[in-house]
Amino acid sequence: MQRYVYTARRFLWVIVGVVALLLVSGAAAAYGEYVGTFESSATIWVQRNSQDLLQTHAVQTDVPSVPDFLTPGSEYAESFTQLVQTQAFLRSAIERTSLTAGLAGARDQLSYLDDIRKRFKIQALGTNLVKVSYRADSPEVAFEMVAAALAIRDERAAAAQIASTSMTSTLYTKELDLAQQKSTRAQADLDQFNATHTPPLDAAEAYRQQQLRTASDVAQARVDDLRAALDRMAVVSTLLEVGQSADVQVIDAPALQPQPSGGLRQAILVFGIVMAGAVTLVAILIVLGTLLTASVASEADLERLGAVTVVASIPELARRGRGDSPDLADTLAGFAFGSVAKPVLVGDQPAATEAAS
Amino acid sequence: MSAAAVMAVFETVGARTHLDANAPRTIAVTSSIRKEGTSSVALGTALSLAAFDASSTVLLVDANWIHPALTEQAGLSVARGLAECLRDGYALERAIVHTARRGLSFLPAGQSGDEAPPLGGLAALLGSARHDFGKIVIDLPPVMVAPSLVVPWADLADQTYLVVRRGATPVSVIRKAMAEIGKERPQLILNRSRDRSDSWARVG
Repeated sequence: MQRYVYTARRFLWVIVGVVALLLVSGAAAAYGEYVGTFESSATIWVQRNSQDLLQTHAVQTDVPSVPDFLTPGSEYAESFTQLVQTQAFLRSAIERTSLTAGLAGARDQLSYLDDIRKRFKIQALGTNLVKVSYRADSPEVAFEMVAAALAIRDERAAAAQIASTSMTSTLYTKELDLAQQKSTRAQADLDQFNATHTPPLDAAEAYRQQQLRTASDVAQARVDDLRAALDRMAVVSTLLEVGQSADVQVIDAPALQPQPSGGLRQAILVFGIVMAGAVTLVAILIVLGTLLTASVASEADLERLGAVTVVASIPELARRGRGDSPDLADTLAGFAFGSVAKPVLVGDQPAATEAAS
Repeated sequence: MSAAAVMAVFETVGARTHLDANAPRTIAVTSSIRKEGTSSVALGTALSLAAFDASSTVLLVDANWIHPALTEQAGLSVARGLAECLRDGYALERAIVHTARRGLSFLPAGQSGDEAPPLGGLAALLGSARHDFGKIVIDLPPVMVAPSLVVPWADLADQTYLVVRRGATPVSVIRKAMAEIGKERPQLILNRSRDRSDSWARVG
């Protein structure tokens, strides 16, 4: 460990320089990220009234269903997140914004869409509250993207529900046709029996007549039920349109944000990554410096050389002043051959300069 | 800090050398590479040996012809010295100068010229010096720079100290230097140490 500490001391200014360089560039990158990011967001209130309109059967409260697990907020956020994953949705949103030209001119459209996708953020803030936000390089684009995404999502949801209603209507119409055919046949059978059998009827004939009458009544009842269902479906589409607007209410509409916003987290991330890189680089420098130079830092290192005798350690001497303070060699030479000033030992108290003999 | 305090830095080396069971009289000081402080350690060791035993005489030999720092510091760059003794048979006692410290004498490097002086008379010269001095400390060039100027001295010396400067000498070079010197158990001195609690000598 001491060797690494020594290497760190030895390359202290290199390390300080590297860290300072990365610190400045990291701070600049983080600042650029922060001031160049504009976020627009919308807060949406979600509930499920329209689904209750379609509830035609009794709810079994002891059987959990998907809506019981998912709150309206999380369900909306989840479906929105899934929509954002699709290229079609993103393309539709982009077509309504000033990014249209950017997408058309992009060399790699998939990467372009992927970048757009990463800029969306959809959060369920509570059981019924959802926040949809978008980060962009300009406030206009951020606003446009959120507004476009919300509009497209609502249009798609309404269209999907209306399509579902239309399918149900078609199914009911087909069933009504069949039921009417069955009812006509049953009535025809009853009329034919009545025409061929005149009263008084014996017991077997009376039983047969009763069966035919019952079948005709049941068929007619089925026709009446289906007619009623079709009548309901005619108004469901209108109800859904009204219900949809009540289900999803934009509480805070997206707005233009002239001041930088939403980039703090990214800026911190950028700065953190750069700093982590600096720490890693310094660690690599120290390890490589230690391994490549592999010089002796202490007596312990000498003893690791093998069968050697460490006779003594000559401590490093600190110069008392700058410039003209003599080093150990000069001091010793002065002591033996002439007269020079003396340095002091590292860590010792400063002593007055004195001449050697 | 006083000169005595600076000298205290080398008391460890002097004490250990004096108290060594083998009682080495000839101590060679070298390093692996340049700028490790060999000359300072040699000078400090010689001073501490001279101070340790007032009755002892110490000869400091500057055998570093590559960079004769001690000779320059003593102001004897143009004086005759070791090179002349080895090459020309110049009298050792005439080349030796007395220093300001009692008991410490100095043999400057002399004028080595372009070619290193022949080391054939090294043993005789050391024998002569041993006769006149109790201890001989030899400042040598770095062993990895000029092994031919180090190994003969190391072979003849009773003890060879390899100076290692903290944070400067690569471990691989130290290993090569130890192999070059060829001693069974190399004696190392850590220069510019920051081990505050470990300034006294210890045997590894």
